[in-house]
Amino acid sequence: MTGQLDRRELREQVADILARENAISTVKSAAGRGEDSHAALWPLFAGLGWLGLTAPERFDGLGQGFSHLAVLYREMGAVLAPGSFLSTIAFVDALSLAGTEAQQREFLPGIAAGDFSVLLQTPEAAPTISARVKGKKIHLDGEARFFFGSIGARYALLPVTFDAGASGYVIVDTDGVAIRQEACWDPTRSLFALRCTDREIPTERLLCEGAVVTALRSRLLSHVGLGLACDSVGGASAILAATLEYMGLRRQFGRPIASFQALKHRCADHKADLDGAAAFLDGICDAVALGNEALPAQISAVKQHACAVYKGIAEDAIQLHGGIGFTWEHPCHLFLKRARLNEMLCGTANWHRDAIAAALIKGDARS
Amino acid sequence: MRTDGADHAALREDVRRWLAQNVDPQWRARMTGATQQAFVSFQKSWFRNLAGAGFAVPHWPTQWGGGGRSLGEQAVIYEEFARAGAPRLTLQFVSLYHTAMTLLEWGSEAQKQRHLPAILNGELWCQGFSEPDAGSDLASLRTRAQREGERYIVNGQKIWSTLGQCADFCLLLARTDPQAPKHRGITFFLLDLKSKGVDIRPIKQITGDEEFCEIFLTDVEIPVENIVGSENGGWQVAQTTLAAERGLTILELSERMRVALDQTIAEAARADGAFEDDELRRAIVDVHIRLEVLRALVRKMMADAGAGRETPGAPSIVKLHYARVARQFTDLGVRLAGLEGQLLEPILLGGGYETGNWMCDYFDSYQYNIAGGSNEIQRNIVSERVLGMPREKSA
Repeated sequence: MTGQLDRRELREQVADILARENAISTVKSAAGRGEDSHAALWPLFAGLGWLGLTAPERFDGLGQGFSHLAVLYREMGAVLAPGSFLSTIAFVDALSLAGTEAQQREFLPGIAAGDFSVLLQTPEAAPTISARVKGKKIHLDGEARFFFGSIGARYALLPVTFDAGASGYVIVDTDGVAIRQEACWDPTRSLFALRCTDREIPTERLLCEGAVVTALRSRLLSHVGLGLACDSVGGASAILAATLEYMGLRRQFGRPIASFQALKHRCADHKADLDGAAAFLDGICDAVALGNEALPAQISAVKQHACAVYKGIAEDAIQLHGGIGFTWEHPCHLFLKRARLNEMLCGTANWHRDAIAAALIKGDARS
Repeated sequence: MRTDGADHAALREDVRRWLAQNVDPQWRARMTGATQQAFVSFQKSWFRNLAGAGFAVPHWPTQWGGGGRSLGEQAVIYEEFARAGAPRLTLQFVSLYHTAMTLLEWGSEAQKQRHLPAILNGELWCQGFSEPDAGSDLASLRTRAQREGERYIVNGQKIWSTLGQCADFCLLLARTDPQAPKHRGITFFLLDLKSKGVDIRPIKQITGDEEFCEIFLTDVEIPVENIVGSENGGWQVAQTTLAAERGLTILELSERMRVALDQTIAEAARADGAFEDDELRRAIVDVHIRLEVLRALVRKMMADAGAGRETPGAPSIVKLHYARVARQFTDLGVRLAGLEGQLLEPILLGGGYETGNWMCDYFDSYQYNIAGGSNEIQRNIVSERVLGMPREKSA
């Protein structure tokens, strides 16, 4: 899987594999046990090279760009894949922006091989952990909430505030950090709170400080925002397809409910929304893949919009399924719960709207 | 928006330069509150100006005096016209697109020779498709054409013919076989509006303007050679007419709206604290996002069409998006204008759905939700032809 892959081919390949491996059933049965599907799916992702997709080839990666990653995020969204994929691959991006050669060598091959995953905090959060440098060590104190990823993650990327008020990002082993799993309404994903009590790490684990911090925060907002937008478009597409299939089979008044015009028109609107969100997202992912840094307001717009479209489709999917959509057994609810989580992660709708409004006033809302 | 990259940079530069020299900065002021007569004469002079520069018919083949431009090049021209706030060519629109594209695909050599050069010389056309009882269900039209020797005698009524009161000819659909299934008994005619028995009455519309008209046909004679395509084969010909503008209208309208929204945002940010009001600020942002989504969709549709990959239903999806954002944008404008916006102001003729006379634009935006296949018809198309849902039974 080296060189430039055709995106359409990649999309088909990825969708085929996830269907063949019945990923959605794995996700559902894990959710039934109150777990996410990380443990079950991670070896598959590693084996297919997906965990090294974007890492440079010298670190055992495939050296692919964001447009290919976007394909994976989207198909992962369609099967409600665990959050560890996004958190870990966004961490790879963070390393490529801010990491030293030694740091990249330390983490990237292990990620590509599937040895471990990483926790990442929702990137709009302000740092709540304080850091004190003492010689060759950094001491961390405090609690930070709303990390996503999966239980068993070996590392976490932590935004910190130094004594003098400067910010930074450090990489911390999760050993020796108190991790509290905060169960979510979306049973396929969890959030985590991390507490450090005089946790000591070597200075080599400092990923960045100073001017790079702003750039990294912006990169994480962009990467996670686009990742969630892809997840949302993939999920919306999957639940709309499932809903249409159900409507073709379900008969009332002697005919399939798909033949009722009131319902057809709602589905047409959902399809129009979905195609709009996908075209908007593709345009921005292409720009990012070409190395044109998309403007933060463009990322905000696509993140906010894709999540809103997902919510709209997933909400109506339950209504269109009727009683069966209200049950735990049917996967409808998993899509709606994911849609609501995506909407709130990495900046709520109004957080993004206000950021876009500021950019509109300044005239840098679009390129 | 760069529809297809640097290839067209030189064309874009040419168009910009020409527009800078030829768009009268006062045209909006002059056309605001203008009489229909003044509007028609302004449109005609603008058309001559465009024709002289090669921008009137970039889409026509060169053998008929057109520019032979690719879809991508046409898109560049439309984008630049939109950005420059140039007048829209509304009076000639049906002539240049609907009539020309229909004749180029279906017309006889004599019909093409007779009308295409005439259109370049200013011959004006309107469309006679809809009837009072045949709107969304166009194929149920009842205007009757009966053959008598070498001519047809036509009786019936057409409605919603845009600028028919100014037109010389009409693209007419009439029923020639009442026994056949409804799509198979319709014939496509070229009707000379100077014929005896044609009565054209303007319809005053919601904005107070008279852009549409009714056409009453009483024992009107049409010679047999004015059939386009075959007798009873008119429905198929009409599909070409309806698809004639290939997304360029929405491209132009969405780029015009982008320019207008940027101005609206700049004014709102300067003037009246609209951005301090949480709800209004976010409503502005939502219109911005919806418009960017539309522009991404249009870009994709044009790229697909240029590459010969037209996807079924894509124009319907794009139209639904434009219709919605046109309603949202103009509603926002009305809200921003407040009580002041309720004062009756003269309207601008030949603008788009974004002339800045917000109440006028707000009412006008319904046009896009109704004309050219209402939102409900577009939803039928998307659900049946894109999503494969069962077809509606029809009588």
